[in-house]
Amino acid sequence: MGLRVRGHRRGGGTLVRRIVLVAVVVLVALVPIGAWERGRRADHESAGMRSVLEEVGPLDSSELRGFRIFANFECLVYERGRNHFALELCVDDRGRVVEAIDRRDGTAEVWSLRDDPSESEVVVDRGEVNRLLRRMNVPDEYLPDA
Amino acid sequence: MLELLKRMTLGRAVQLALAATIVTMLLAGGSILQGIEPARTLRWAALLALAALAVAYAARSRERAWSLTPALVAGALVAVAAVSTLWSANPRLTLGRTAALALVLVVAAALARAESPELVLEGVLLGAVAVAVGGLLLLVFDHDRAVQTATTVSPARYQGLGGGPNMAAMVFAIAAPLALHFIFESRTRTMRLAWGAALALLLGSIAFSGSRGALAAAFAGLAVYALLGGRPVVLGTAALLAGATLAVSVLPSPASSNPPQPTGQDPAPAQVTPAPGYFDANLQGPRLQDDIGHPGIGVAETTRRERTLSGSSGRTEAWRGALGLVADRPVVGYGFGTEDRTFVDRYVFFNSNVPENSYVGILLQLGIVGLVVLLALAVALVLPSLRRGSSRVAVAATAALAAALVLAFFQSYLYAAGNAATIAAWVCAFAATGAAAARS
Repeated sequence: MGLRVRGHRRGGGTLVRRIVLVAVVVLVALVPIGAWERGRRADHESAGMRSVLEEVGPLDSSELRGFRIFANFECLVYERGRNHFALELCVDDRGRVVEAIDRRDGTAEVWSLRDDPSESEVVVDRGEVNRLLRRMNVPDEYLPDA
Repeated sequence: MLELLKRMTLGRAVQLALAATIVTMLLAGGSILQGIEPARTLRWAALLALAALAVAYAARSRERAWSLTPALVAGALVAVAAVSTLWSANPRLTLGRTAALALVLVVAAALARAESPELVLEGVLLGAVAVAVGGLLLLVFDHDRAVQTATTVSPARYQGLGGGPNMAAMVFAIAAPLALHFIFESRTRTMRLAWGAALALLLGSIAFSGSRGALAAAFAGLAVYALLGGRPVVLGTAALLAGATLAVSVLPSPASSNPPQPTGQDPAPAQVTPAPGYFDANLQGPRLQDDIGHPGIGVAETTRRERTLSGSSGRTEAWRGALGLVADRPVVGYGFGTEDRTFVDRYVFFNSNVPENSYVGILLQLGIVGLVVLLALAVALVLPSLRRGSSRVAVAATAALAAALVLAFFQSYLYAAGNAATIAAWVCAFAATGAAAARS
Protein backbone atom coordinates (compact mmCIF):
# COMPACT_ATOMS: atom_id res chain seq x y z
CA MET A 1 0.00 0.00 0.00
CA GLY A 2 1.10 3.58 -0.67
CA LEU A 3 4.64 4.79 -1.14
CA ARG A 4 7.40 2.26 -0.95
CA VAL A 5 11.08 2.97 -0.68
CA ARG A 6 14.13 0.80 -1.13
CA GLY A 7 17.25 2.48 0.15
CA HIS A 8 17.86 5.93 -1.33
CA ARG A 9 17.61 4.92 -4.96
CA ARG A 10 13.87 5.17 -5.51
CA GLY A 11 12.16 7.89 -3.56
CA GLY A 12 9.40 9.46 -5.55
CA GLY A 13 10.95 12.73 -4.36
CA THR A 14 8.59 14.99 -6.30
CA LEU A 15 5.53 13.25 -4.95
CA VAL A 16 6.84 13.47 -1.39
CA ARG A 17 7.59 17.18 -1.87
CA ARG A 18 4.03 17.76 -3.10
CA ILE A 19 2.58 15.87 -0.15
CA VAL A 20 4.69 17.90 2.27
CA LEU A 21 3.61 21.16 0.57
CA VAL A 22 -0.08 20.26 0.85
CA ALA A 23 0.45 19.23 4.49
CA VAL A 24 2.07 22.58 5.30
CA VAL A 25 -0.83 24.49 3.70
CA VAL A 26 -3.35 22.40 5.68
CA LEU A 27 -1.40 22.95 8.92
CA VAL A 28 -1.32 26.71 8.39
CA ALA A 29 -5.08 26.67 7.77
CA LEU A 30 -5.63 24.90 11.07
CA VAL A 31 -4.14 27.74 13.13
CA PRO A 32 -6.97 30.31 12.67
CA ILE A 33 -9.53 27.52 13.12
CA GLY A 34 -7.93 26.54 16.44
CA ALA A 35 -7.79 30.15 17.63
CA TRP A 36 -11.41 30.76 16.57
CA GLU A 37 -12.64 27.61 18.36
CA ARG A 38 -10.78 28.63 21.51
CA GLY A 39 -12.29 32.10 21.49
CA ARG A 40 -15.80 30.86 20.72
CA ARG A 41 -15.72 28.35 23.56
CA ALA A 42 -14.37 31.00 25.95
CA ASP A 43 -17.25 33.32 24.99
CA HIS A 44 -19.80 30.56 25.57
CA GLU A 45 -18.40 29.50 28.93
CA SER A 46 -17.94 33.10 30.04
CA ALA A 47 -21.58 33.84 29.18
CA GLY A 48 -22.68 30.89 31.34
CA MET A 49 -20.45 31.96 34.23
CA ARG A 50 -21.72 35.52 33.93
CA SER A 51 -25.33 34.34 34.17
CA VAL A 52 -24.52 32.44 37.39
CA LEU A 53 -22.74 35.51 38.76
CA GLU A 54 -25.80 37.62 37.97
CA GLU A 55 -28.01 35.05 39.68
CA VAL A 56 -25.77 35.16 42.77
CA GLY A 57 -25.97 38.93 42.94
CA PRO A 58 -23.56 40.59 45.37
CA LEU A 59 -20.81 38.19 46.47
CA ASP A 60 -21.45 39.24 50.05
CA SER A 61 -24.99 37.92 49.88
CA SER A 62 -26.86 36.65 52.92
CA GLU A 63 -27.22 33.36 51.01
CA LEU A 64 -23.47 32.67 51.08
CA ARG A 65 -23.22 29.32 52.87
CA GLY A 66 -19.87 27.74 52.19
CA PHE A 67 -16.57 27.52 50.40
CA ARG A 68 -14.11 25.17 48.81
CA ILE A 69 -10.33 25.51 48.85
CA PHE A 70 -8.21 24.12 46.00
CA ALA A 71 -4.66 24.65 44.87
CA ASN A 72 -5.52 26.84 41.87
CA PHE A 73 -8.84 28.39 42.83
CA GLU A 74 -11.36 28.88 45.61
CA CYS A 75 -15.12 28.60 45.42
CA LEU A 76 -18.03 30.36 47.12
CA VAL A 77 -21.25 28.38 47.58
CA TYR A 78 -24.71 30.04 47.79
CA GLU A 79 -28.02 28.56 48.85
CA ARG A 80 -31.44 28.98 47.29
CA GLY A 81 -34.38 27.89 49.41
CA ARG A 82 -33.47 24.56 51.06
CA ASN A 83 -30.79 23.82 48.52
CA HIS A 84 -27.55 24.77 50.29
CA PHE A 85 -25.40 24.10 47.21
CA ALA A 86 -27.55 25.82 44.59
CA LEU A 87 -24.99 28.17 43.07
CA GLU A 88 -21.22 28.03 43.11
CA LEU A 89 -18.57 30.42 41.83
CA CYS A 90 -14.92 29.48 41.59
CA VAL A 91 -12.32 32.24 41.37
CA ASP A 92 -8.60 32.02 40.66
CA ASP A 93 -5.79 34.04 42.23
CA ARG A 94 -6.34 36.97 39.86
CA GLY A 95 -10.07 37.17 40.50
CA ARG A 96 -11.03 35.51 37.23
CA VAL A 97 -14.14 33.33 37.51
CA VAL A 98 -12.93 29.96 36.20
CA GLU A 99 -15.96 27.84 37.00
CA ALA A 100 -19.62 28.37 37.85
CA ILE A 101 -22.17 25.71 38.75
CA ASP A 102 -25.93 25.97 38.88
CA ARG A 103 -27.56 23.16 40.94
CA ARG A 104 -30.90 24.82 41.49
CA ASP A 105 -32.84 22.02 39.80
CA GLY A 106 -30.90 19.29 41.61
CA THR A 107 -28.51 18.50 38.79
CA ALA A 108 -25.25 20.29 38.13
CA GLU A 109 -24.99 22.59 35.14
CA VAL A 110 -21.35 23.54 34.81
CA TRP A 111 -19.58 26.35 32.94
CA SER A 112 -15.85 26.14 33.20
CA LEU A 113 -12.60 27.58 31.93
CA ARG A 114 -10.52 25.79 34.54
CA ASP A 115 -8.28 24.52 31.73
CA ASP A 116 -7.97 27.95 30.10
CA PRO A 117 -8.33 30.62 32.82
CA SER A 118 -6.60 33.35 30.82
CA GLU A 119 -9.58 33.33 28.44
CA SER A 120 -12.14 34.03 31.16
CA GLU A 121 -13.97 37.29 30.55
CA VAL A 122 -15.65 37.32 33.97
CA VAL A 123 -13.70 38.95 36.78
CA VAL A 124 -14.65 39.67 40.40
CA ASP A 125 -12.90 41.58 43.15
CA ARG A 126 -10.36 39.11 44.52
CA GLY A 127 -9.97 41.20 47.68
CA GLU A 128 -13.69 40.81 48.32
CA VAL A 129 -13.45 37.04 47.83
CA ASN A 130 -10.56 36.88 50.31
CA ARG A 131 -12.54 38.91 52.82
CA LEU A 132 -15.52 36.54 52.56
CA LEU A 133 -13.32 33.48 52.88
CA ARG A 134 -11.64 34.95 55.99
CA ARG A 135 -15.08 35.60 57.45
CA MET A 136 -15.81 31.87 57.03
CA ASN A 137 -12.60 31.09 58.96
CA VAL A 138 -10.33 30.22 56.03
CA PRO A 139 -6.76 30.99 57.23
CA ASP A 140 -4.65 33.49 55.30
CA GLU A 141 -2.14 30.77 54.38
CA TYR A 142 -4.75 29.34 51.97
CA LEU A 143 -5.49 32.67 50.33
CA PRO A 144 -3.58 34.40 47.54
CA ASP A 145 -2.61 38.04 47.84
CA ALA A 146 -5.39 40.16 46.42
CA MET B 1 31.03 -12.71 9.21
CA LEU B 2 32.33 -9.86 11.37
CA GLU B 3 29.68 -7.56 9.87
CA LEU B 4 26.96 -10.12 10.61
CA LEU B 5 28.19 -10.39 14.20
CA LYS B 6 28.14 -6.60 14.55
CA ARG B 7 24.59 -6.47 13.23
CA MET B 8 23.52 -9.19 15.63
CA THR B 9 25.12 -7.36 18.53
CA LEU B 10 23.38 -4.10 17.63
CA GLY B 11 20.12 -5.98 17.20
CA ARG B 12 20.44 -7.51 20.65
CA ALA B 13 21.30 -4.10 22.12
CA VAL B 14 18.14 -2.66 20.56
CA GLN B 15 16.15 -5.57 21.93
CA LEU B 16 17.49 -5.10 25.45
CA ALA B 17 17.04 -1.31 25.31
CA LEU B 18 13.45 -1.81 24.19
CA ALA B 19 12.71 -4.20 27.05
CA ALA B 20 14.47 -1.90 29.54
CA THR B 21 12.52 1.13 28.29
CA ILE B 22 9.22 -0.70 28.77
CA VAL B 23 10.18 -1.74 32.31
CA THR B 24 11.45 1.74 33.23
CA MET B 25 8.34 3.45 31.88
CA LEU B 26 6.16 1.14 33.90
CA LEU B 27 8.16 1.70 37.08
CA ALA B 28 7.85 5.48 36.56
CA GLY B 29 4.15 5.18 37.33
CA GLY B 30 4.42 1.98 39.28
CA SER B 31 3.56 0.56 42.66
CA ILE B 32 7.08 0.71 44.15
CA LEU B 33 6.97 4.22 45.55
CA GLN B 34 10.72 4.54 46.10
CA GLY B 35 11.32 3.68 42.45
CA ILE B 36 9.00 6.25 40.91
CA GLU B 37 11.24 9.34 41.00
CA PRO B 38 14.41 7.70 39.67
CA ALA B 39 12.40 5.83 37.03
CA ARG B 40 10.77 9.07 35.87
CA THR B 41 14.19 10.44 35.00
CA LEU B 42 15.56 7.15 33.74
CA ARG B 43 12.68 6.47 31.34
CA TRP B 44 13.57 9.45 29.16
CA ALA B 45 17.24 8.50 29.21
CA ALA B 46 16.24 4.97 28.24
CA LEU B 47 14.01 6.26 25.44
CA LEU B 48 16.78 8.51 24.08
CA ALA B 49 19.26 5.63 24.19
CA LEU B 50 16.74 3.38 22.46
CA ALA B 51 16.13 6.04 19.79
CA ALA B 52 19.86 6.33 19.11
CA LEU B 53 20.25 2.56 18.86
CA ALA B 54 17.13 2.19 16.70
CA VAL B 55 18.29 4.86 14.25
CA ALA B 56 21.75 3.27 14.06
CA TYR B 57 20.13 -0.12 13.48
CA ALA B 58 17.90 1.33 10.75
CA ALA B 59 20.87 3.02 9.09
CA ARG B 60 22.50 -0.38 8.70
CA SER B 61 19.45 -1.62 6.85
CA ARG B 62 19.39 1.07 4.18
CA GLU B 63 18.94 -1.45 1.40
CA ARG B 64 15.88 -2.96 2.97
CA ALA B 65 12.48 -2.19 1.40
CA TRP B 66 10.11 -0.24 3.60
CA SER B 67 6.83 1.56 3.28
CA LEU B 68 6.98 5.34 3.46
CA THR B 69 3.24 5.90 3.92
CA PRO B 70 3.01 5.11 7.67
CA ALA B 71 6.05 7.31 8.37
CA LEU B 72 4.44 10.19 6.46
CA VAL B 73 1.12 9.80 8.27
CA ALA B 74 2.91 9.57 11.63
CA GLY B 75 4.78 12.74 10.66
CA ALA B 76 1.43 14.39 9.92
CA LEU B 77 0.15 13.43 13.38
CA VAL B 78 3.23 14.93 15.02
CA ALA B 79 2.96 18.05 12.85
CA VAL B 80 -0.70 18.62 13.81
CA ALA B 81 0.24 18.07 17.46
CA ALA B 82 3.11 20.56 17.20
CA VAL B 83 0.98 23.20 15.46
CA SER B 84 -1.67 22.81 18.16
CA THR B 85 0.78 24.65 20.43
CA LEU B 86 -0.61 27.79 18.81
CA TRP B 87 -4.13 27.27 20.20
CA SER B 88 -3.28 25.31 23.33
CA ALA B 89 -3.85 26.84 26.77
CA ASN B 90 -0.56 25.17 27.83
CA PRO B 91 1.84 25.66 24.90
CA ARG B 92 4.91 24.37 26.74
CA LEU B 93 3.10 21.24 27.82
CA THR B 94 1.84 20.69 24.29
CA LEU B 95 5.29 21.14 22.78
CA GLY B 96 6.98 18.87 25.34
CA ARG B 97 4.46 16.07 24.94
CA THR B 98 4.61 16.39 21.15
CA ALA B 99 8.38 16.00 21.24
CA ALA B 100 8.05 12.93 23.45
CA LEU B 101 5.50 11.32 21.13
CA ALA B 102 7.70 12.15 18.14
CA LEU B 103 10.57 10.32 19.81
CA VAL B 104 8.44 7.22 20.35
CA LEU B 105 7.31 7.28 16.72
CA VAL B 106 10.89 7.73 15.52
CA VAL B 107 11.88 4.63 17.51
CA ALA B 108 8.95 2.67 16.08
CA ALA B 109 9.53 3.81 12.48
CA ALA B 110 13.26 3.11 12.71
CA LEU B 111 12.67 -0.37 14.11
CA ALA B 112 10.26 -1.07 11.24
CA ARG B 113 13.37 -1.22 9.08
CA ALA B 114 15.06 -3.75 11.35
CA GLU B 115 16.55 -6.75 9.60
CA SER B 116 14.78 -9.03 12.02
CA PRO B 117 11.26 -7.95 13.04
CA GLU B 118 11.23 -11.08 15.21
CA LEU B 119 14.02 -9.59 17.27
CA VAL B 120 12.04 -6.38 17.80
CA LEU B 121 8.84 -8.18 18.77
CA GLU B 122 10.83 -10.40 21.09
CA GLY B 123 12.14 -7.22 22.75
CA VAL B 124 8.58 -6.05 23.43
CA LEU B 125 7.67 -9.47 24.76
CA LEU B 126 10.76 -9.64 26.97
CA GLY B 127 9.88 -6.25 28.45
CA ALA B 128 6.35 -7.43 29.22
CA VAL B 129 7.57 -10.70 30.74
CA ALA B 130 10.10 -8.82 32.89
CA VAL B 131 7.26 -6.63 34.20
CA ALA B 132 5.12 -9.70 34.88
CA VAL B 133 7.90 -11.55 36.71
CA GLY B 134 8.69 -8.40 38.70
CA GLY B 135 5.03 -8.22 39.68
CA LEU B 136 5.10 -11.78 40.97
CA LEU B 137 8.24 -11.07 43.02
CA LEU B 138 6.56 -8.00 44.49
CA LEU B 139 3.55 -10.13 45.35
CA VAL B 140 5.81 -12.46 47.32
CA PHE B 141 7.87 -9.80 49.10
CA ASP B 142 5.44 -6.87 49.43
CA HIS B 143 1.90 -8.10 48.99
CA ASP B 144 0.27 -4.77 49.88
CA ARG B 145 2.07 -3.01 47.04
CA ALA B 146 1.26 -5.69 44.49
CA VAL B 147 -2.46 -5.84 45.25
CA GLN B 148 -4.91 -2.95 45.20
CA THR B 149 -7.06 -3.10 48.31
CA ALA B 150 -10.72 -4.08 47.98
CA THR B 151 -13.36 -1.40 48.41
CA THR B 152 -17.11 -1.58 48.96
CA VAL B 153 -17.67 -1.66 45.21
CA SER B 154 -14.56 -3.38 43.88
CA PRO B 155 -12.71 -6.55 44.86
CA ALA B 156 -8.98 -6.63 45.57
CA ARG B 157 -7.15 -6.43 42.25
CA TYR B 158 -3.65 -7.58 41.34
CA GLN B 159 -1.50 -4.73 40.03
CA GLY B 160 2.01 -6.15 40.30
CA LEU B 161 4.56 -3.49 39.36
CA GLY B 162 1.88 -1.23 37.90
CA GLY B 163 0.60 1.88 39.64
CA GLY B 164 -2.92 0.52 39.25
CA PRO B 165 -4.46 -2.74 38.08
CA ASN B 166 -4.76 -1.54 34.47
CA MET B 167 -1.22 -0.28 33.96
CA ALA B 168 0.86 -3.44 33.58
CA ALA B 169 -2.15 -5.34 32.19
CA MET B 170 -2.12 -2.99 29.18
CA VAL B 171 1.41 -4.08 28.27
CA PHE B 172 0.51 -7.74 28.85
CA ALA B 173 -2.48 -7.49 26.51
CA ILE B 174 -0.32 -6.17 23.66
CA ALA B 175 2.36 -8.79 24.30
CA ALA B 176 -0.01 -11.79 24.60
CA PRO B 177 -0.37 -12.47 20.84
CA LEU B 178 3.41 -12.17 20.49
CA ALA B 179 3.88 -14.90 23.09
CA LEU B 180 1.41 -17.12 21.24
CA HIS B 181 3.36 -16.48 18.04
CA PHE B 182 6.69 -17.47 19.58
CA ILE B 183 5.19 -20.68 20.97
CA PHE B 184 4.32 -21.78 17.45
CA GLU B 185 7.49 -20.47 15.83
CA SER B 186 10.06 -21.80 18.33
CA ARG B 187 12.21 -24.59 17.04
CA THR B 188 13.00 -26.27 20.34
CA ARG B 189 10.66 -27.76 22.87
CA THR B 190 12.39 -25.85 25.68
CA MET B 191 11.68 -22.52 24.02
CA ARG B 192 8.09 -23.50 23.32
CA LEU B 193 7.68 -24.33 27.01
CA ALA B 194 9.33 -21.07 28.02
CA TRP B 195 7.06 -18.96 25.79
CA GLY B 196 4.07 -21.02 26.95
CA ALA B 197 4.90 -20.19 30.56
CA ALA B 198 5.32 -16.54 29.57
CA LEU B 199 1.88 -16.49 27.93
CA ALA B 200 0.29 -18.15 30.96
CA LEU B 201 1.94 -15.54 33.18
CA LEU B 202 0.72 -12.64 31.02
CA LEU B 203 -2.85 -13.90 30.75
CA GLY B 204 -2.95 -14.90 34.43
CA SER B 205 -1.74 -11.45 35.44
CA ILE B 206 -4.46 -9.84 33.29
CA ALA B 207 -7.14 -12.14 34.73
CA PHE B 208 -6.23 -11.40 38.36
CA SER B 209 -5.93 -7.67 37.66
CA GLY B 210 -9.61 -7.66 36.69
CA SER B 211 -8.72 -5.22 33.90
CA ARG B 212 -11.58 -5.68 31.47
CA GLY B 213 -10.08 -3.52 28.75
CA ALA B 214 -6.87 -5.54 28.83
CA LEU B 215 -8.92 -8.74 28.80
CA ALA B 216 -10.83 -7.64 25.69
CA ALA B 217 -7.63 -6.42 24.03
CA ALA B 218 -5.73 -9.65 24.71
CA PHE B 219 -8.63 -11.70 23.33
CA ALA B 220 -8.78 -9.50 20.23
CA GLY B 221 -5.04 -9.92 19.70
CA LEU B 222 -5.19 -13.70 20.09
CA ALA B 223 -8.22 -13.90 17.78
CA VAL B 224 -6.58 -11.79 15.08
CA TYR B 225 -3.41 -13.88 15.23
CA ALA B 226 -5.41 -17.08 14.99
CA LEU B 227 -7.66 -15.88 12.17
CA LEU B 228 -4.94 -14.26 10.04
CA GLY B 229 -2.63 -17.19 10.67
CA GLY B 230 -5.33 -19.49 9.31
CA ARG B 231 -4.15 -22.53 11.25
CA PRO B 232 -6.81 -24.54 13.15
CA VAL B 233 -4.39 -25.45 15.95
CA VAL B 234 -3.62 -21.78 16.58
CA LEU B 235 -7.31 -20.89 16.49
CA GLY B 236 -8.14 -23.67 18.95
CA THR B 237 -5.32 -22.66 21.28
CA ALA B 238 -6.36 -19.01 21.21
CA ALA B 239 -9.98 -19.91 21.99
CA LEU B 240 -8.89 -22.18 24.84
CA LEU B 241 -6.67 -19.46 26.31
CA ALA B 242 -9.44 -16.87 26.04
CA GLY B 243 -11.91 -19.18 27.79
CA ALA B 244 -9.51 -20.06 30.59
CA THR B 245 -8.58 -16.43 31.18
CA LEU B 246 -12.22 -15.38 31.28
CA ALA B 247 -13.04 -18.20 33.72
CA VAL B 248 -10.26 -17.09 36.08
CA SER B 249 -11.30 -13.44 35.88
CA VAL B 250 -14.89 -14.11 36.98
CA LEU B 251 -14.02 -16.30 39.97
CA PRO B 252 -15.81 -15.05 43.09
CA SER B 253 -13.65 -12.50 44.83
CA PRO B 254 -13.44 -11.94 48.57
CA ALA B 255 -14.95 -8.48 48.27
CA SER B 256 -18.10 -9.84 46.60
CA SER B 257 -18.92 -12.14 49.49
CA ASN B 258 -17.36 -10.22 52.34
CA PRO B 259 -17.13 -6.56 51.42
CA PRO B 260 -15.20 -4.23 53.68
CA GLN B 261 -17.39 -1.70 55.43
CA PRO B 262 -16.90 2.04 55.04
CA THR B 263 -15.26 3.51 58.12
CA GLY B 264 -17.11 6.82 57.92
CA GLN B 265 -13.82 8.60 58.53
CA ASP B 266 -12.27 10.96 56.02
CA PRO B 267 -8.64 9.90 55.48
CA ALA B 268 -7.68 13.56 55.03
CA PRO B 269 -9.44 15.48 57.79
CA ALA B 270 -10.38 19.10 57.25
CA GLN B 271 -7.69 21.70 57.74
CA VAL B 272 -10.29 24.44 58.02
CA THR B 273 -12.96 24.64 60.69
CA PRO B 274 -15.65 26.87 59.18
CA ALA B 275 -17.16 29.67 61.19
CA PRO B 276 -20.62 28.91 62.61
CA GLY B 277 -23.31 28.99 59.92
CA TYR B 278 -20.91 28.11 57.11
CA PHE B 279 -19.58 24.83 55.72
CA ASP B 280 -16.60 23.49 53.80
CA ALA B 281 -18.35 22.16 50.70
CA ASN B 282 -15.52 19.71 50.02
CA LEU B 283 -16.47 17.91 53.24
CA GLN B 284 -20.20 18.51 53.59
CA GLY B 285 -21.46 19.00 50.07
CA PRO B 286 -21.21 17.21 46.75
CA ARG B 287 -17.52 16.89 45.90
CA LEU B 288 -16.74 18.45 42.54
CA GLN B 289 -15.38 15.11 41.33
CA ASP B 290 -18.75 13.51 42.15
CA ASP B 291 -21.01 16.35 41.04
CA ILE B 292 -22.68 14.49 38.19
CA GLY B 293 -24.56 11.22 38.63
CA HIS B 294 -25.17 11.22 42.37
CA PRO B 295 -28.71 11.08 43.76
CA GLY B 296 -30.34 14.45 44.47
CA ILE B 297 -29.14 16.40 47.50
CA GLY B 298 -30.76 14.89 50.58
CA VAL B 299 -31.67 11.68 48.73
CA ALA B 300 -29.95 8.49 49.90
CA GLU B 301 -28.29 6.09 47.47
CA THR B 302 -30.24 2.84 47.88
CA THR B 303 -28.60 0.65 45.23
CA ARG B 304 -25.18 -0.87 45.69
CA ARG B 305 -23.09 -0.51 42.57
CA GLU B 306 -20.46 -3.23 42.51
CA ARG B 307 -17.86 -3.46 39.80
CA THR B 308 -18.93 -6.14 37.31
CA LEU B 309 -17.37 -7.74 34.25
CA SER B 310 -19.72 -5.89 31.90
CA GLY B 311 -19.92 -2.58 33.78
CA SER B 312 -18.20 0.54 32.49
CA SER B 313 -16.94 1.87 35.87
CA GLY B 314 -18.49 5.22 35.00
CA ARG B 315 -16.72 5.43 31.64
CA THR B 316 -19.91 5.97 29.66
CA GLU B 317 -20.76 9.07 31.74
CA ALA B 318 -17.17 10.30 31.45
CA TRP B 319 -17.14 9.73 27.67
CA ARG B 320 -20.43 11.60 27.34
CA GLY B 321 -18.97 14.50 29.29
CA ALA B 322 -15.73 14.45 27.30
CA LEU B 323 -17.67 14.42 24.02
CA GLY B 324 -19.56 17.45 25.30
CA LEU B 325 -16.21 19.19 25.66
CA VAL B 326 -15.23 18.00 22.17
CA ALA B 327 -18.40 19.60 20.81
CA ASP B 328 -17.17 22.97 22.06
CA ARG B 329 -13.94 22.75 20.01
CA PRO B 330 -14.66 19.99 17.47
CA VAL B 331 -12.34 20.62 14.53
CA VAL B 332 -8.86 20.87 16.05
CA GLY B 333 -9.44 20.39 19.78
CA TYR B 334 -7.81 21.90 22.85
CA GLY B 335 -4.16 21.23 22.01
CA PHE B 336 -2.05 18.09 22.15
CA GLY B 337 -1.12 16.84 25.60
CA THR B 338 -3.86 18.79 27.37
CA GLU B 339 -6.26 15.86 27.84
CA ASP B 340 -5.69 15.65 31.59
CA ARG B 341 -6.12 19.44 31.96
CA THR B 342 -9.21 19.79 29.79
CA PHE B 343 -11.11 16.77 31.00
CA VAL B 344 -12.39 17.17 34.56
CA ASP B 345 -13.73 14.16 36.42
CA ARG B 346 -17.15 15.25 37.69
CA TYR B 347 -18.72 11.79 37.58
CA VAL B 348 -19.65 9.92 40.69
CA PHE B 349 -18.82 6.44 39.38
CA PHE B 350 -15.69 7.44 37.48
CA ASN B 351 -12.23 7.84 38.91
CA SER B 352 -9.57 9.11 36.55
CA ASN B 353 -8.17 12.39 35.31
CA VAL B 354 -8.54 11.31 31.67
CA PRO B 355 -11.62 9.90 29.89
CA GLU B 356 -9.97 6.46 29.53
CA ASN B 357 -10.53 6.17 25.80
CA SER B 358 -7.76 7.07 23.37
CA TYR B 359 -10.17 7.94 20.54
CA VAL B 360 -12.14 10.33 22.74
CA GLY B 361 -8.80 11.55 24.09
CA ILE B 362 -7.40 12.41 20.66
CA LEU B 363 -10.70 14.11 19.75
CA LEU B 364 -10.34 16.22 22.86
CA GLN B 365 -6.74 17.15 22.06
CA LEU B 366 -6.70 17.48 18.28
CA GLY B 367 -10.36 17.32 17.29
CA ILE B 368 -11.72 15.56 14.26
CA VAL B 369 -8.52 16.37 12.36
CA GLY B 370 -6.44 14.47 14.93
CA LEU B 371 -8.80 11.49 15.01
CA VAL B 372 -8.79 11.23 11.21
CA VAL B 373 -4.98 11.30 11.11
CA LEU B 374 -4.72 8.71 13.92
CA LEU B 375 -7.17 6.39 12.17
CA ALA B 376 -5.35 6.91 8.86
CA LEU B 377 -2.13 5.88 10.58
CA ALA B 378 -3.78 2.74 11.97
CA VAL B 379 -5.10 1.85 8.49
CA ALA B 380 -1.70 2.50 6.88
CA LEU B 381 -0.09 0.19 9.43
CA VAL B 382 -2.66 -2.60 9.25
CA LEU B 383 -3.33 -2.85 5.53
CA PRO B 384 0.04 -4.22 4.30
CA SER B 385 -0.12 -7.24 6.59
CA LEU B 386 -3.69 -8.08 5.55
CA ARG B 387 -2.45 -9.00 2.10
CA ARG B 388 -2.55 -12.67 1.26
CA GLY B 389 0.72 -14.41 2.00
CA SER B 390 1.86 -12.12 4.78
CA SER B 391 4.62 -13.56 6.90
CA ARG B 392 3.76 -14.99 10.31
CA VAL B 393 5.80 -12.32 12.04
CA ALA B 394 3.77 -9.65 10.22
CA VAL B 395 0.60 -11.40 11.39
CA ALA B 396 1.89 -11.47 14.99
CA ALA B 397 2.72 -7.76 14.90
CA THR B 398 -0.70 -7.01 13.39
CA ALA B 399 -2.35 -9.03 16.15
CA ALA B 400 -0.49 -6.96 18.75
CA LEU B 401 -1.61 -3.81 16.94
CA ALA B 402 -5.21 -5.10 17.01
CA ALA B 403 -4.88 -5.62 20.77
CA ALA B 404 -3.52 -2.08 21.11
CA LEU B 405 -6.39 -0.59 19.09
CA VAL B 406 -9.01 -2.46 21.15
CA LEU B 407 -7.24 -1.40 24.34
CA ALA B 408 -7.51 2.19 23.12
CA PHE B 409 -11.30 1.97 23.60
CA PHE B 410 -10.74 1.50 27.34
CA GLN B 411 -7.58 3.48 28.09
CA SER B 412 -6.23 6.91 27.16
CA TYR B 413 -2.71 6.01 26.15
CA LEU B 414 -1.92 5.81 22.40
CA TYR B 415 -0.38 9.31 22.41
CA ALA B 416 1.06 9.27 25.96
CA ALA B 417 4.78 8.79 25.37
CA GLY B 418 5.56 8.05 29.01
CA ASN B 419 3.21 5.07 29.13
CA ALA B 420 4.88 1.67 28.73
CA ALA B 421 2.00 0.39 26.62
CA THR B 422 2.40 3.26 24.15
CA ILE B 423 5.88 2.35 22.98
CA ALA B 424 4.94 -1.35 22.92
CA ALA B 425 1.91 -0.55 20.76
CA TRP B 426 3.70 1.65 18.21
CA VAL B 427 6.75 -0.59 17.92
CA CYS B 428 4.48 -3.57 17.15
CA ALA B 429 2.37 -1.46 14.78
CA PHE B 430 5.35 -0.33 12.72
CA ALA B 431 6.91 -3.79 12.88
CA ALA B 432 3.76 -5.08 11.18
CA THR B 433 4.23 -2.84 8.18
CA GLY B 434 8.01 -3.39 8.19
CA ALA B 435 7.66 -7.15 8.14
CA ALA B 436 5.00 -6.99 5.42
CA ALA B 437 7.14 -4.67 3.27
CA ALA B 438 10.18 -6.91 3.63
CA ARG B 439 8.15 -9.93 2.60
CA SER B 440 6.77 -8.31 -0.54
